[in-house]
Amino acid sequence: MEDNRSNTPSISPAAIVVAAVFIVVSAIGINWFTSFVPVVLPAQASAESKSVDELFYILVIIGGVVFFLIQGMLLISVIFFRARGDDRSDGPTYHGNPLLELVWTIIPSLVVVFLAVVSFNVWSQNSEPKAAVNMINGEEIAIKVTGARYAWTHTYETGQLDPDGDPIVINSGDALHTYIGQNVDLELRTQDVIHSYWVPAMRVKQDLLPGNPATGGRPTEIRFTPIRVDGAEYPATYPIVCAELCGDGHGRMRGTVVVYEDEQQFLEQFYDPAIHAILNPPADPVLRGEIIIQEYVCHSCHVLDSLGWTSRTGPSLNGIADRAGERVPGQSAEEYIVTSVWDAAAFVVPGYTEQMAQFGPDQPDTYQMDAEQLYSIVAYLCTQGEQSDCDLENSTTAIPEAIQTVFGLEVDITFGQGDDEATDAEV
Amino acid sequence: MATIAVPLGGQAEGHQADAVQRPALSEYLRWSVDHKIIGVQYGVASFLFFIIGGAMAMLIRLELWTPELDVMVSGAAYNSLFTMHGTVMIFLFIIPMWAAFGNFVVPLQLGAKDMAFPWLNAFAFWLIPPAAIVVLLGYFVTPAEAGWTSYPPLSTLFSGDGQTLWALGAHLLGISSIMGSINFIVTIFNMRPPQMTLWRMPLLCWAVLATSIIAVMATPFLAGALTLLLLDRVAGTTFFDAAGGGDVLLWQNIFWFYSHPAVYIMVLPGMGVLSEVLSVHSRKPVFGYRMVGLSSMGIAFVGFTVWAHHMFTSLQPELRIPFMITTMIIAVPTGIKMFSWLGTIWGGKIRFTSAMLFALGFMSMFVIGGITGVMLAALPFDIHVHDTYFVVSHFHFVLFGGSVFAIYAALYHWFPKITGRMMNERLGRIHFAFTYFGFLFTFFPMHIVGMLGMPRRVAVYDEAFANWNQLISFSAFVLGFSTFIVIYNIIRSYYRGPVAGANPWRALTLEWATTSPPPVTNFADDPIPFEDPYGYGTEASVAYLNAVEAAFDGRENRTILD
Amino acid sequence: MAELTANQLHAVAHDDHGHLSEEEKNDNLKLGVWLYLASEIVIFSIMIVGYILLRINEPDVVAHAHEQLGVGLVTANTFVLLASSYFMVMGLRAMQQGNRAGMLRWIGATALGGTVFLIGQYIEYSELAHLGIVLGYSESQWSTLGMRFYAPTFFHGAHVFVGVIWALEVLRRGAQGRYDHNPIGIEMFGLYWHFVDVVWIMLFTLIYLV
Repeated sequence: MEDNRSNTPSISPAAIVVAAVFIVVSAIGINWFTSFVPVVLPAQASAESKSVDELFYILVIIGGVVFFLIQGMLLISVIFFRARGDDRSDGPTYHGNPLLELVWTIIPSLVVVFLAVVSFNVWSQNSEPKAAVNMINGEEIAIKVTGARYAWTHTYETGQLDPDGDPIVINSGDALHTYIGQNVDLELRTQDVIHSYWVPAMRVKQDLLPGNPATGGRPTEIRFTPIRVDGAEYPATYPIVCAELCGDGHGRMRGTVVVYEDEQQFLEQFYDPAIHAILNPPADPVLRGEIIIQEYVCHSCHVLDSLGWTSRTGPSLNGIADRAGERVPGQSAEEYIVTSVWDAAAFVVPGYTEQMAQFGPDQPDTYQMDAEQLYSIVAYLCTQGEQSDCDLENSTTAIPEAIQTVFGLEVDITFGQGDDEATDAEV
Repeated sequence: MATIAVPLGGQAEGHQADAVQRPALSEYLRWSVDHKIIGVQYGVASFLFFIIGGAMAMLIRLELWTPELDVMVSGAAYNSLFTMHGTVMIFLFIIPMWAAFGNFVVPLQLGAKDMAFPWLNAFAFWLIPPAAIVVLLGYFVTPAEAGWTSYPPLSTLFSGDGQTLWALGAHLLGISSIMGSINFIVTIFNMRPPQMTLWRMPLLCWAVLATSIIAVMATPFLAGALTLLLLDRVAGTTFFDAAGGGDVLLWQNIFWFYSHPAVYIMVLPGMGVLSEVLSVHSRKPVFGYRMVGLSSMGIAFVGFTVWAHHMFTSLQPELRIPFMITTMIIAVPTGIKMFSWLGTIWGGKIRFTSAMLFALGFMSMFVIGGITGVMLAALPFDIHVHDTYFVVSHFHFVLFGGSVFAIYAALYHWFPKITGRMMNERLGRIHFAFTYFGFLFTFFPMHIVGMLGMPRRVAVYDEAFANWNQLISFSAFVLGFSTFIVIYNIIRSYYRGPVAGANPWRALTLEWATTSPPPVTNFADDPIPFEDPYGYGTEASVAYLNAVEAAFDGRENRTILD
Repeated sequence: MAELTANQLHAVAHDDHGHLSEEEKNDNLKLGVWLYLASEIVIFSIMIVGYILLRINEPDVVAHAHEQLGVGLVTANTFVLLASSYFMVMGLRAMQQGNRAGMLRWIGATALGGTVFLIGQYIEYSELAHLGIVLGYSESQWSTLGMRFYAPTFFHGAHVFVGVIWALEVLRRGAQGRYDHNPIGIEMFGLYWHFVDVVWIMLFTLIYLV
């Protein structure tokens, strides 16, 4: 070792200059990079997003120092320690420096401890349960999210009862409606595989885990509080994304968070009209079907231009009524559509695989559909086509008969008809 | 001045300057128990799988050129594509590729005549082709489309027969990996000649030892998990089906208990390669040899305690913090390695050979994977980017920026030993440039789209990310093109490369103290390793290297600098 | 640097290149078998943990099963397996003393013990099937028990089966006199057989006794 001391590279003035320049450049570089923070992350739309982004900022600064330190040393080595010309000699026999090794063990350890502490703080702050969640009209209500391949369904259990004494549950489909300052606390359930509920603008994500339906499933929870985003117009919308591979339509499994400016706007534009619509369903089964079909996950797999559906996982519903009569010999158009909604496996359209869920009165959560809802949906689908095979003139008898034939169920077609005039008057 | 006893190679005499004695190509297509033949068999087979997996990656990027589903017939077809890409790259490319270099180089570096169990060695290799066929056969039924992580219930109740084939194939590959690793451990512990003490062992051997210990202890977890998955799929059990008393998180726990250590199975040998290449090509001892060796063991050990960070969004919230802490700790031994490598090249006499370029490229890229690894360990930030393109980017920086760069470094470094001919350095440099920049511009922007809100494993995505994805896809095609350069270089060099001689890089480890390629028994006798595997710069080492040259080539050695 | 001489170079010379001495081979094989068994432990422990979780989560199911099932047969079976391990030790000792015939008898007894164990397990399985405890999911109250019971015990049974085959192979080779000078093959089989035995004791304790 002693003999080789002279071989140890002495630090030349040029190296010091390069190092100094590099430090300046890195400092500018890190500063420049952190200025991108708002650009590389979505809008900060929740209270949580602030602290997460601060943590990100810290991580980027520390990571940036490490990055520039190592790339810089690489660069300096590459420039200054290359064998020049026909130099075929060896480098110095320098085996190491225990002190230096200790330093670069201890300093990273300290940095890691620091980061762990900071992360822990952010985490405990964000995961702390909040009082007064899902406040609407001064009351806490339950907002539930169901993930089913390949759509989100949001339901608001309003706690109110309709005239028949049934609880009013708002189904807002793939949209979550909330307002600035509301402590959102969602109960997440999946109907099939694992999904992951991610709202990038809120910096929150939680997997939905399949549990045993007999013991109430395995609900998980996600919490966030929307805040005001400067320059945003309200109601503002942010995407919801499925972040866990769930099958064919995983990429299309998206939704929207609609954030209203305040509770007032939330009530006026979403909550009250939704309750009103539930209390006053349109009498026309076609109109009713148009509303109901959008509460189900149908849109996640089918194309239907009239509703703006684009997914090609399942067969297109455009002009379905034109084809329905010819699909299965011996089945009328009504019977075919009725069968296809509740028991899709009975006939799989050529070119597609059997993967549609079972709907019906006994199916769980978002797949539950009673005969009246089926009736309305079929009535709506029967209008999708230019020369419908359905008997549109007598749909009030033809469809119930089809349901009777296929599933042996009576349909109460008087559903909602009593409210005819009220609907016309108020809407 | 000491006299140097040179370890004798096989056919030192009768060596012809322009001819290379090497096995006939047909040898490689047959059952052979020679570790060098098996090493090449592993290497060529895994490189073929690299090309297949790479072609799949190109298709993935083609699909992602636009936000809509246009290239693939269905989302399911896209899902099976990235499932196969992951499976092929991990189980059929990186892991067996390290078995290739481990097989060829480790016994030579130790001074052993072969692996401890030559027959088992061959058997482990020959399990791979049938396993690959089983996995790829899925394309003729319903291909596996649940991702390489294969989470139930998607992989059990919602997948077709291809998933069963996938699990069977992965099972076979796991068995192959366990057998190979047992072989490495026994070889490294028992097959060293007397002078090759543990602390004289080259660092690649240390890394392979650490890797093999991980593989023997972790791969059975995969085997167990796959057994349960197969039972669920074919025997009607409900281990992972909540409706029947099972638990979907059971799979995630067991799977990641294997698959996180598996990351180190894929990276540690690359780190071993790096220690070799950096030291040889900068003509300087590895800085802190013992710490580098021990940090491999440290990584191996801590690597078993971090698995649940892959489950940050599914694990019970109160269990997440401990895994955040262990995950961050693993940055420390990794950092030790990184700084030690910097200490190795610092003040050296760097030769910019292709092997060295890829080694430097590894350091330059792997550090990004390391930094994002710590970022992902930070639980609150991970919650945001979990299962997004940020993660895709992170693990490609580790597994491509890490493993693949190291594989290329190893290829350029040991190709002369394996084939007896040098690779073309100019093509090597072009290959490096395309790979480095193609890689950087493919994967760096993925961090950003991930943070902005693009989840992974999607065929359709928000139009807002279209421009980023076009940049990524374009760079990916550049990266894909770079592979053709190295394929051309390999084939051309195999036939027309300059004859390498025994020790073209003037390296001190024992694999260079025999002819290129080595004779069947590697060494005439138990070779005596130089006192220090990386003791460059001493007069003794120069004398040793000159003696090796004189013994094998009988002429001035040719190096790439000539 | 120390002066190295040709003598040192040939410090450990081998008669034939590329081949290991018997002693080295034995060491390799033993270490290899140990490592193999280490990996086996992992697979068994996954299944055992699966069973332990069931015990913790659904103690009623297990208690109910214990009530209905006797441990008579399985205790006898355990005894047979333990005895076969003893035969195994005696077989190895006989060979080490150069008593080939004795070795063949003892190892034969080992194989027989394994076979009896498998028959016992088969009888037990058919009894359980009559009770409605099956591997796959069923509507019965046993549905959660079945898979967690059968997976480890069947996996173990498969190891016993492989062990019996191995024992027969040891007998074949032993009869040819291949172990007369180097009983490593018997030793390796012994390691495996003892491992299978130890695993069974754990399973027996966990599943039938606790």
